Amino acid sequence: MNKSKAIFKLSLIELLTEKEVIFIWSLSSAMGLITIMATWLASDKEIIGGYTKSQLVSYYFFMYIISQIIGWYICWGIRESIMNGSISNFLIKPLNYIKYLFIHELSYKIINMATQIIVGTILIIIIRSYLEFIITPKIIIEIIPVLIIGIGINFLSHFILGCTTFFFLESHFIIFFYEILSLTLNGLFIPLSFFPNNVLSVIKYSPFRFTYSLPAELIFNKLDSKEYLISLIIGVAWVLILAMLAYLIWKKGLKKYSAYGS
Amino acid sequence: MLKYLKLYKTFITNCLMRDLEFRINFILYTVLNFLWTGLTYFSVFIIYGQVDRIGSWDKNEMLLFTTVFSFSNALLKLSLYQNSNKLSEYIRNGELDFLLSKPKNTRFIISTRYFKFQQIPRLLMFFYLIFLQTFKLNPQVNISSFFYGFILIFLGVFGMYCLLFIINSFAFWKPRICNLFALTDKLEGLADRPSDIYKGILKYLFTFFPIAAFSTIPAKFFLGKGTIELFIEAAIITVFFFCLSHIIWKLGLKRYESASS
Repeated sequence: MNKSKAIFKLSLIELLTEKEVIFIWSLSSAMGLITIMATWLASDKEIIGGYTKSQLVSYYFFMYIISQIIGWYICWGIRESIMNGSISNFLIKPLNYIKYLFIHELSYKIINMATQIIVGTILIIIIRSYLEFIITPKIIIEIIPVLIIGIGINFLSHFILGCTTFFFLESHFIIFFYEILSLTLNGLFIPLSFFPNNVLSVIKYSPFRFTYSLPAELIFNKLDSKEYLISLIIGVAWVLILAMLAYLIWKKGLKKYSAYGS
Repeated sequence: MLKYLKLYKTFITNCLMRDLEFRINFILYTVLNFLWTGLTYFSVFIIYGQVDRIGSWDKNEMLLFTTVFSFSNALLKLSLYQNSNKLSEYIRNGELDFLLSKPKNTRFIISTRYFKFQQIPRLLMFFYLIFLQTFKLNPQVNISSFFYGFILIFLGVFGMYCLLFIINSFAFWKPRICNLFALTDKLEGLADRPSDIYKGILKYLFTFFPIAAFSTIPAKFFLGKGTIELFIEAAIITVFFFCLSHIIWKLGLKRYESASS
């Protein structure tokens, strides 16, 4: 516990020196909203895929918030530390690398949230007339396990992606391919209800849906209680599968890994 | 001038040799670039599965627009994009000292040093698609529309490069910021929808910034909706941003303090 506290404190101190960098990340992710919101607002239909225009603007605003909570992009850091050998520093210490990554990323998220208050407030002021969703205490209770599942799936899948660097020294293309697949199927870019029914019946079981789309479906009342429970069960199953895969790839990767020099 | 062409040729040869050393990577990146392009078209199909028009653009016009944007994007990413993003890196790690000591124009070296051959297959494909889609939508199109359209694409890409260069020059004042590329990426991304779908202040802002000139104005010329006023507007914006980027670059250099020595 003391070790975790120390890592958390050190990470916070380290990240506080990078406030401007974190602010740029926040600003750039908010800028990504402009195009997609403008696209739907300029469309000729009032109801689009079951959403009103205001609901769609709210959907993307909500996605922006969710992506700040769930988006744990640890694969790039793992990739770099395997490629330049700095991962060895963790391996020789009495420290669990996965635990370190989790705590470090958690501290990043906390600092990020602080910068989001500025960017998010500006965003709310700009789009306030379009915002249209109600958050009840029931939704808050229901969304917590959904967010935990989302973080679990994102963290573990990015961990696995980062660990592929043990096997393919230039793993950038694997991560890029995953990003393309994920962007298509996670609802961040396009609500899953816009897909044709036959495609939707398959992708609704993919792990991508349980990251970004599921919280949005909950907020916009697209799930009944039975569907919510089934989704939770499938989500937990994906977390367990990914955790097993992460464990296996980490063990195999360490056997393959070698570092030279100091 | 000839010396600079020779230097540029050396840079390109050097990048080709590097790419040929990692052939599998080269092929995989090319494939991924095509997949990314596929996602862009896929999004158009999904959007138009729900609506008939976005602003004044119907599905086929939007597909042509997407091709024009993708062509401009590939042209920018062929060389200028990553080179302008390298500026902030050079400032941060002090490598700019080394470049400043070269007996050639430093901005030229920074802007042309790297060349991405992976973009060439994309460029060729979009070049072909622009003709194909334009003839489908506008059979009466004349050669001058293509001429002006491609000139505008080059102007738009150059204007966008100047904008990216300005953003990266910000590192002269704040060298610790290591992720200015995130902003440049999003700025370029703003051009992936027609600039006339934006409303209010954004509409004026994106017309003034070289965002409309990057994709919307050339696309209008291919559709036969271009006017001489639009052409002049794009040219003025590009010249303005080139001058501005040059002034900021010069001001930045005055402020530059080496990071390494």
